[in-house]
Amino acid sequence: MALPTLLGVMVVVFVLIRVVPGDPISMMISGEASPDDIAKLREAYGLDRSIPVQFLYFLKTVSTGHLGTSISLHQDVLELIMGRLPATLELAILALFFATVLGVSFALTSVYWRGRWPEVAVDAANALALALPEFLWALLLILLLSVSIPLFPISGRTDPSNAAVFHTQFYLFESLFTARFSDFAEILRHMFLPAISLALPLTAVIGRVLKSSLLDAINQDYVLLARAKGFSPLYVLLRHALPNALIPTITITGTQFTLLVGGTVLIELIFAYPGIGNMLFGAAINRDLPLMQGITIVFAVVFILINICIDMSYALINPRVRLD
Amino acid sequence: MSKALLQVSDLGVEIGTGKHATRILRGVNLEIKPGEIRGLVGESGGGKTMVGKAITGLLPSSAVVSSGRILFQEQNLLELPAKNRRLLLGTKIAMILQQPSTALNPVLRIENQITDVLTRRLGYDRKSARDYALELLSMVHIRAPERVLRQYPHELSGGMCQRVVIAIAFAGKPSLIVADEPTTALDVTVQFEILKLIKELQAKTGTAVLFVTHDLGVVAKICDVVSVIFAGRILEQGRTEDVIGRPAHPYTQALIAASPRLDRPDAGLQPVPGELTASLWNDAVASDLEQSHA
Amino acid sequence: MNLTRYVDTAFANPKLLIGGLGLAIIAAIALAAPLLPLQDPLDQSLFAQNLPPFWLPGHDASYLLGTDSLGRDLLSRLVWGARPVLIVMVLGAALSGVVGVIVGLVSGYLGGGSDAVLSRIIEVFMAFPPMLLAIVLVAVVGPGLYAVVISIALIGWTRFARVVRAEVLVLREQDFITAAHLLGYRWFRILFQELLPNIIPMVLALLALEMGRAIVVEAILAFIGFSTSDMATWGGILADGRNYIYQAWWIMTLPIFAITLSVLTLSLLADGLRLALDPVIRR
Repeated sequence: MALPTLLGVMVVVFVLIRVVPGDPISMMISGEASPDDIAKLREAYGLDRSIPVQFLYFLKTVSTGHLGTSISLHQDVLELIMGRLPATLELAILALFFATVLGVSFALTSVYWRGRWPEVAVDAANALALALPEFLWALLLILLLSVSIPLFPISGRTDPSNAAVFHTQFYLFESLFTARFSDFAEILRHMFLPAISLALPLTAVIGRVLKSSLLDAINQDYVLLARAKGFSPLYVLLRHALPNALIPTITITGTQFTLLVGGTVLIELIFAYPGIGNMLFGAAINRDLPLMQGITIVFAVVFILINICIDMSYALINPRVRLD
Repeated sequence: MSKALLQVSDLGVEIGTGKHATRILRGVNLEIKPGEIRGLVGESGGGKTMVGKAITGLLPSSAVVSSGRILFQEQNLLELPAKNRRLLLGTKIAMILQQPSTALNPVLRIENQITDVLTRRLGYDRKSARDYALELLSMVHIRAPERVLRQYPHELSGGMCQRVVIAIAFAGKPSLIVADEPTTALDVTVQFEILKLIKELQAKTGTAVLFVTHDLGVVAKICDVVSVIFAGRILEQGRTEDVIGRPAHPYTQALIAASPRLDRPDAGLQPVPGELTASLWNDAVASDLEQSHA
Repeated sequence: MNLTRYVDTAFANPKLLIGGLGLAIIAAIALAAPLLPLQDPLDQSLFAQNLPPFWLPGHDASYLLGTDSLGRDLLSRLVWGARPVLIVMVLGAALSGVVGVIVGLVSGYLGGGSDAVLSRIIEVFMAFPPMLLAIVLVAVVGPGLYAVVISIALIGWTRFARVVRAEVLVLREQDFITAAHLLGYRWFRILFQELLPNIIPMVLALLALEMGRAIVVEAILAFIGFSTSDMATWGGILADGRNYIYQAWWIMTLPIFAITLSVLTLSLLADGLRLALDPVIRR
């Protein structure tokens, strides 16, 4: 299933990059290039052939991992992206973590205290989180939590003064697993606002879907039997209702997680966070076509991989699917 | 004459509150002695399931007990704090549900569904819980208990699931089991085996059973005593052979005439007459009005 | 009395009322901008940079809501900024709607091979982060209001297409469509005269939501300098305010306020429309 989608992605990228009015080569090089250089470049990019041949050529180079050289940064595109991708992945994973923890606690709170004020409060918060996109949340949170109450920094991944040395690009995970907790705290402080802004819309979706699945689950016979065993309401909710209610929630979370990953483009821009989204912005300003093309392809591949993971986790949690 | 294990008196249950309240039970009286099987028989909608749910304290959230007492081992369950009442479940009172296929949690292995009540409610440790779970499964005549422990409910037949549910019910050696139509959803041949099993375990453990059913044939097979319920009121009760052999109430007579009989397959079935049920409902509603005016 | 009936209906659906009024206000401000006694939104002044609004000390009476870093009047920029918002939200949502509805109708009604191909195309478009597509498109074709409109449609049409397709899949099994077939109607007549009227309510609600999204997309693209440069835009004010956030927090606060209100308004309108037009919910 993933392969045709990937092929379609390549077509879209190919077309999109070539809508450019005029010759892409002339945009790629500075004024002093000789006609000879231009011809060489055209050949290197295969631009002297017919469109279908160009596409096949494009497919071949991309599938062997050659995404070209960045025009503005004069480095290999794949290398550039791989240097930045970890920062983006860390941000997305932290946001997913926040969204899951918040969304699940929202749903559990409003079901456990259903018909009382916590349910009303949580539902209102949910509706608000759902109505505003992450872009607005980011701006509102900046105003609230770093301008009026200066709690969190609004740019970067660490303080410029921080001299900590990292062996990988996964700063957050590395500092956590090597138990450098002061570094970890500082990185977390920098990532907090971007991650929360990314997380809020997904939080609302998880909260809403999980709540309705939980309400459905607590009316099932197996919950009645669990109550008849004399378990506390909390244990019944967590151990017997929640695992069943999680099944539909995980599917929705999966499709919505891709939206969250897509949201990193903006969030990184607003918070000057050095991931590939921010890099895309630089590439767009400089009309750096190879870099834009590379980032677009990498994002699409990440999306498709996420969807595959979701399918697999669905099988993992639902014993019925696992058997088939 | 031994003391009653459970004594329900004047139990009233309503759904909804205030003006929109609808009465479900209207002064139900019921007594169960230790070790006996009490049948509670009636048509669907007659309130029989609600009696069981009121006794276990598992009424739906829209329903409230409006009157009466439920004395269990001489304490009124309705006056007990919610937590204490809950702690009776699984230890002294257990339940068997109608739909074995939905009564077990679809995402948990059978092992976890048996051992969770053993470890969390009955003080077993992990190791002994597993041993006891195996013992329980052989007690309900499951042939390959080791394998069943590893399986999920959807891998078992309805009859097997019901055996597991019964094993869970008997796990805490309760004094009372509320069995709500435990054989209705099963095939006829399986029904008979499950009835035999409940009777056998009940005789072995001396547990009392409240057997809720619509089926007089089942009552005749298993119950020592029986109460007939309609429109939220007990119409008649007594020893099973008396009630079925010499029914006093016209509704009981009609119910017997409506039951299929293996000994006289050509006798034909008589539906319960509509005039009879209508007049019983009228009586019930009239008594409701009387009460609300009093 | 007819009037009281209208009032009753309106108050029975406050979401529709508030959302509709809000949209009317946005449109009115945008259309009336040239008529209002405002300063030129593009006029810079070196002597009046980062002035605070009227309720803060140090304000200047001639700049009611203060000025930005180039000394331009913020009130005027906010009001004039509603104009690109109006253009983009109407055109962007309409274009997404037209493309998406046609694809959804055709794909859901024809089924089979065309449905498989169209569904696959929708899937491909959903394999990109929406904002990434928008940014790349504008970067490639060059900034400007109409590039923004096209990029909104590029990322918005799939939402219409998916919902319409799902709806048509349900509708085409129903008796009135079978009847239309028996009467020998041709396929485009069935599509546009029988199916389309049935999905109009849903499409209207989707349009309101899409307008809200269009506002955000425009603000984002303006924020990174990819929208029009000849007009004041809310996103442009945001970008300016982001640079002076600690010195002049109000610059960024004002457009955030405007965008948030507009988005909430349109989300209310969408909810209200769904309630008002769905015969099942209404009953």
